[in-house]
Amino acid sequence: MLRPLTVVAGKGGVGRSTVAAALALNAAADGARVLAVDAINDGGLRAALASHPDEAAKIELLELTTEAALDEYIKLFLHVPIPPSRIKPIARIFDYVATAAPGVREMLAIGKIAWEVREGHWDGVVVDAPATGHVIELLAAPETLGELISVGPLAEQSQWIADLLADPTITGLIGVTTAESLPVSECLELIDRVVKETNVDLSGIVITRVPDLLGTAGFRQAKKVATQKSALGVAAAVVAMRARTAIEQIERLTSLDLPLTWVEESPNPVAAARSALREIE
Amino acid sequence: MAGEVDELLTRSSVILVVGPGGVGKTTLSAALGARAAREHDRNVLVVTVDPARRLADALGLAEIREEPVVVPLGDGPGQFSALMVDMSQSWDRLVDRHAPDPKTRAALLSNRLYRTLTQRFVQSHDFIALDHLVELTADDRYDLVIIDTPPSVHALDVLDAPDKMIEFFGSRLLKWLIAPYGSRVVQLAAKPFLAVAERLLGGPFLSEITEFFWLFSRLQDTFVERARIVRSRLSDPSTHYVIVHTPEPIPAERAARLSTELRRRHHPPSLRIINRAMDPRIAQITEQELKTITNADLRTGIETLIADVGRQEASGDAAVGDVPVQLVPLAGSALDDVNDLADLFGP
Repeated sequence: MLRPLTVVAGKGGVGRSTVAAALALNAAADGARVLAVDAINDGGLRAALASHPDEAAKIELLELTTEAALDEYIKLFLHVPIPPSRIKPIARIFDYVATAAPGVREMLAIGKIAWEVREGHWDGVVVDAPATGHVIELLAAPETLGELISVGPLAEQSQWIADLLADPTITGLIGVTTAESLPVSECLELIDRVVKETNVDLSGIVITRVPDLLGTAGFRQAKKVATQKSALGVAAAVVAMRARTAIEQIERLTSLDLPLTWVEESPNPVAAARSALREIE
Repeated sequence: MAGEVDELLTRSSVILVVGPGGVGKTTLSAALGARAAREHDRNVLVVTVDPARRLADALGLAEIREEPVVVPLGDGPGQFSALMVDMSQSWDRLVDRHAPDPKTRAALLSNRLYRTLTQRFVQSHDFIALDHLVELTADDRYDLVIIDTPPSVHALDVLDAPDKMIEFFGSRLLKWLIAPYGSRVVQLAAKPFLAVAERLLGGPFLSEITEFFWLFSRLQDTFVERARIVRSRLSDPSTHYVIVHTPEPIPAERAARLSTELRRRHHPPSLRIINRAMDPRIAQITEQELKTITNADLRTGIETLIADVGRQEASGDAAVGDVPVQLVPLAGSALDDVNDLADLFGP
């Protein structure tokens, strides 16, 4: 599933950082040079990586802020002689403009990420991306901005970044969801928007926290036991209900015709995600 | 079992529901509203800002418009309405009502950047959600407004939105951004900033941006005044904060952090709801009982569940502090209509 640039997307709380960390950790364990990018900068990816400190030590972690991205951007592309002491205050103010101007913040972020991919310092770059609406803005930024700005360095950069994102041998997006109704609806919406609004190729879906599933016999016994008012009866009803929901939701995802990976519910979610992702590699 | 909830629903005029993503905030906001209307005869409005229209799902409504929609519920005098905030319509309305003159209004609404800019800057989602408070709490159709706080990277951004708005209008940034329209002195001070901005964005694009902000700055008085009203509403004694989370360790730990943040802002939470909680008796299931389950998959499932419930007990002690707790059991069936929602906290 890992490509030179792998974007991991999904709504808050479904285990997106867990999956991003698992991909990065597996690759690092195999000796790959990995850059893990936290595009949300909420500490989630750092925390998930910390569950496996030995491999995490081999991974470069980049927590993206507008300030850092702008700083890099100015250094890499603008060649404006701005003394380092001036960059910080300018970047702080620029943070506002970048928030306001459509696509600029995203362009700075995706520009930095794309530059890392292009320079070839890494075997894999894994991006823990913000929630649905934002990830679309991030991936569509080169086009959005290309339409608004016709001159200037940002406009010149947008083409090669757009090409890099559209190349399926380089860039792929992984959708993450739990096997619950609303997260799956949001994941389907995300996939739909990626297809319609960006040129990024989809590399697969990871379903997290899949509960223990039941077969016909299991459901039959659960139904019988559930008629008891005891704790056991309650437990059987809950297990059956979760299994039924999960099966229904996984069926909805199979309609996408994308590779699906299941991660079972576990007290050690990163470890569980690592072994599930290992199986399909 | 629902004593704490009922007490809160009778004494509040505004309830803000906060919590990490994915814990069922929207559903619980609707459930609180449905219960307040059905059991306490209150006239309730639930406000949600959510592009995914999740509240609509939970309520079985095909669509929620910018105008509140009355959701049919029981025969009592209480009424339950839902409002889904549409960002672009809300901005249009604000500009429409508060522009100082028709010329500014027309120029603003036709500015090429207006649409994207208003949706993006200074957490405009959060500000719009709160701005609705100004009108809704003055609207005598409702005596309780429940706000499902917008999903944002940092869950409490919404509470900071009024201050950010006030700060934005007073900031040097705004002065610099609109410097081309300002005095020579300001133009000079802004020069290095504008030079970098122009280098990066290109001249034409930058001038569109500055034009927009210049027009926008003319609505300053309105925005600052409304932001002040919102800020005082947020601290009103009849405004209450409810934290929602699920029993898993990560959401529980996030809720604990949220609670600290709320206290720091002088808005201590009045209630904590643990959603999708499991029956604590499950932890007491004996080996003997488990042996009666002959199906291996089902037995594994129950064993996992027993371990989960054990952890739930532990996470319940997480440092949210001295706040009344309400457990909402993991529903055994789907929440099909608004009466099911009202029953979530007990019949």
